[in-house]
Amino acid sequence: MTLAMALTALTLAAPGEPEFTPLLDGESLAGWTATGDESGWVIEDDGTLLTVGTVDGGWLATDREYADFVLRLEYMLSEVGNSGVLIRGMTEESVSTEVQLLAPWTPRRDDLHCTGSLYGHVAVDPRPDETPLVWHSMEITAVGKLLTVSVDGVEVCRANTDEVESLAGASLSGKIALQSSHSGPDEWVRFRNIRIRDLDAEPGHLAYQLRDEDPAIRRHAQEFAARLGSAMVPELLRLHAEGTPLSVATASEALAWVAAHATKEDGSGGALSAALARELAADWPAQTRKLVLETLTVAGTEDAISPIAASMAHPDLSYSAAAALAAIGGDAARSALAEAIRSDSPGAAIATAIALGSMGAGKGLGALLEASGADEPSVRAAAVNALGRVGEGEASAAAITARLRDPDQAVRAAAQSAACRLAAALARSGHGGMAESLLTRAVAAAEARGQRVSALVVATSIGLTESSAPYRAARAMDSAAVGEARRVAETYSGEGH
Amino acid sequence: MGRRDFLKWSAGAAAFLGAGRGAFAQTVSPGDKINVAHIGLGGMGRSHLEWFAAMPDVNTVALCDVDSEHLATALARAQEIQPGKDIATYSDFRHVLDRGDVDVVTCATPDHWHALVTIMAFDAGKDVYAEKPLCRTVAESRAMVDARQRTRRVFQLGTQIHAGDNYHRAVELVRSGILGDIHTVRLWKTGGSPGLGYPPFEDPPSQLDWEMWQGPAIRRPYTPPRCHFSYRYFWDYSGGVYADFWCHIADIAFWSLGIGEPRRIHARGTTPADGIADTPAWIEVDYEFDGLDLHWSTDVPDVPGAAGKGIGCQFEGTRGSMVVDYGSRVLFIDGEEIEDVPDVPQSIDRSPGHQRNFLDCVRSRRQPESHLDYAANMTLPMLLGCISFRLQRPLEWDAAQGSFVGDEAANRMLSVPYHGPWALPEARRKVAVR
Repeated sequence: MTLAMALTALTLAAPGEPEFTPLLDGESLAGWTATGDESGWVIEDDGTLLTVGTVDGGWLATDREYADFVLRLEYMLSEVGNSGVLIRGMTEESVSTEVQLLAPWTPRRDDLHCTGSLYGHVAVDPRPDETPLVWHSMEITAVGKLLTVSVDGVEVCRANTDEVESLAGASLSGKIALQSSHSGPDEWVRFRNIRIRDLDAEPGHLAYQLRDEDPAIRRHAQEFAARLGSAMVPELLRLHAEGTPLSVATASEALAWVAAHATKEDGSGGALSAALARELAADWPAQTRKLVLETLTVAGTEDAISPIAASMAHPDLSYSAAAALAAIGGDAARSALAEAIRSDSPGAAIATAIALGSMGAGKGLGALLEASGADEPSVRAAAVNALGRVGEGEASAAAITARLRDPDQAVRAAAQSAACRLAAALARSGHGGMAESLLTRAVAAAEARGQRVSALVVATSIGLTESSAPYRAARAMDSAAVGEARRVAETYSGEGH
Repeated sequence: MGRRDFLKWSAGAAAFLGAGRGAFAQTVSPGDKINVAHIGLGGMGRSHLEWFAAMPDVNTVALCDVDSEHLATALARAQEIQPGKDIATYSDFRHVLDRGDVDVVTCATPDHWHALVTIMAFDAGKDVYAEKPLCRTVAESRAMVDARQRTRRVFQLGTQIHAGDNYHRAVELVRSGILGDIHTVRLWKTGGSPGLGYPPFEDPPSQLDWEMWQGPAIRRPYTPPRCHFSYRYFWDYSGGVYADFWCHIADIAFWSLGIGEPRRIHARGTTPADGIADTPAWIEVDYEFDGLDLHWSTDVPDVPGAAGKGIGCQFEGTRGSMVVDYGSRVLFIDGEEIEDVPDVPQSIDRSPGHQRNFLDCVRSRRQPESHLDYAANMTLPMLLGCISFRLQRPLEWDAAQGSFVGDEAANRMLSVPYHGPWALPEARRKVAVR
């Protein structure tokens, strides 16, 4: 490394400005693109950027867009130098906002077109020092619709773009661009120490903007929040927990965007899941924790399973937590659900049964079998229902059979439905004998003709004849049910499209 | 209602074949009138009442709504149409399904109820005429198709434009080949979701059962825009203008061309920035089908014949193009603008009317013109487009697997969690939903 380069590196980031990032690396135009002839933009040995009037370099624009920021730079103009800094520019539909940089040349420009003005839109007051051939410092801040310009430490221009007619519809985001020297072949402009504080990378700033009265500002902050991803989670939950219709809607939508953004192939889904899981342990109101669980339904990974499972016991959260676990899937989620089904809360047990029923029981089967004998009838009914759906062999059939004679009417009805559903599944997987036996028991235990007919129709649909055991059982008890089942079967075969 | 009663009902929802009274004997003898019950009596539900009561072979026997004001308005009108008849009213649709004498239910509830009401009605042995859109998710659509095949009921989606002569003639024209091979279809409907502002949360009004209104949807604090009519502008219940109008205008394209499932879906757009509504303020969706590009837009496309039409479908073929809307069509062939090509013969039987067609099928046990398998296939691209919009990225769809390729978050969005104890019965086939 040469001495000149080492010095350059030292001058890039000014001391005491940890939030600022250099926009030029002092060696190349990396991160920038010229709209004109790139050779018109020269990096000098000390890292200074020079634009000369002999070559039309056009605009030198940042490759990425910035919305809210503090931009600091130093500039020096030749005797009649003329340049400018474009902010939030190069967008398709927008009027451009150029902060003018101008030597005081003849004819003298007015306050609306001099250094520090938003050229042609907002005049300066006071007028800054415009001495050429010396370094000046400039700071441009853009926060929502408020723009300010300071030159040599003095604020010379301030505007709310909503109050400036000619700036109506100005974009809230865009590129930052430097204008090439364009007042004559011998004129030039130098820039150095160009550095930016990107406010949209700061969760605290976005949190402030998300509470703005202006929907456009809030919308903008939501978009940047999505890019920031998991770092935004605590701020968004704080906003949601404020509990007003506006804060709830703004936070919910922003978090949905965060999830959509993070679950892309960029691999930050795991980080988001971890950030959300951490918040489940915090002291948020139930509605806010529910939002976290809803988001985990889309973005959750296995790491989040145990904090989600810990939410199962909360009566307002058990359904959302079970749904999140079902969405994450896998044996670890099943084990967590299996644990929850044994909890004292009937709500949690029922939510678990629904979840296991929708995801396939696997390792949770034992817990469902156990729950089918729980003390609380509503838990027994939910478990039997789930067993009918996941349908795994002899143990399920035995558990369902036992509930056909349950003391509780709702459990018995659930067991009838489950028996029909499981019998159809057993027949499809080649266990016709087990299916026939289950249907026979369902017919024998049925309390209404409709239940018998349902069981017989399933029997027919899996290929059993009227001499099979379920039909024999039905005929002995209720011959009218056999006739009704036959009529239904005929309706089936008569269907056409 | 206590938890145990609730469970009994949800058990009914999941029943393999329903356990209601004589569930499967529900066929109408030729000489009998068809007993119709209406579930959901907002604007569309009251249209159902008018349409069906006008049929000579229909008895209106029951009305059901979770809002007692809706119920009272509808009952007053029903008694005008059928003076002296006994018409029962219910706030809980499960009591309607429990009645053995009801042959047909119509469903004009908000969208988040369509799947469960339909499936539970099937299981109770009823035939169903249901409002569009079909449902909210792919999982719901699959469960509905599965339940109908299991129970062999008759289902009609309420796309009444289908029955008109204009759509029939448009199908004949497209299929005749006079436009050449169709390579591009453009669908549009102007207007998007309003923001609805930020109204305060309130206690639900006394005439409304807000808990039952929400049903399987996630629980939210009550505020009027979330409920009647404007519920449409919330993903919790529906999918905005796009979801609402897709089936009416996509119908003509899917009917004409027999379109299958898309391979690629890319939605773009924004949601309103000035309120709690979260469905699209505008949306554009590009679909790639096998040999066909299909585009949806909130804006009227810049193609011949489209200007001034708030909704429409443009077929673009190798020899010409045609723009169709609900009641008109215009063809452009060799630079000439025409309304019809008389040489193309009439080849499709005209419909006796959308509701009449359905009632005829209730008697014949054949499937009506907007039957469930057709409606589910036509609705699928819209449901996938909603996911692409919400994730703000293009998606690849694997029709054979019934899932998105390499996008786990998108696959999770093929279903939404049901608020218990409501549960969606699982479909037997293509169950990609975990």
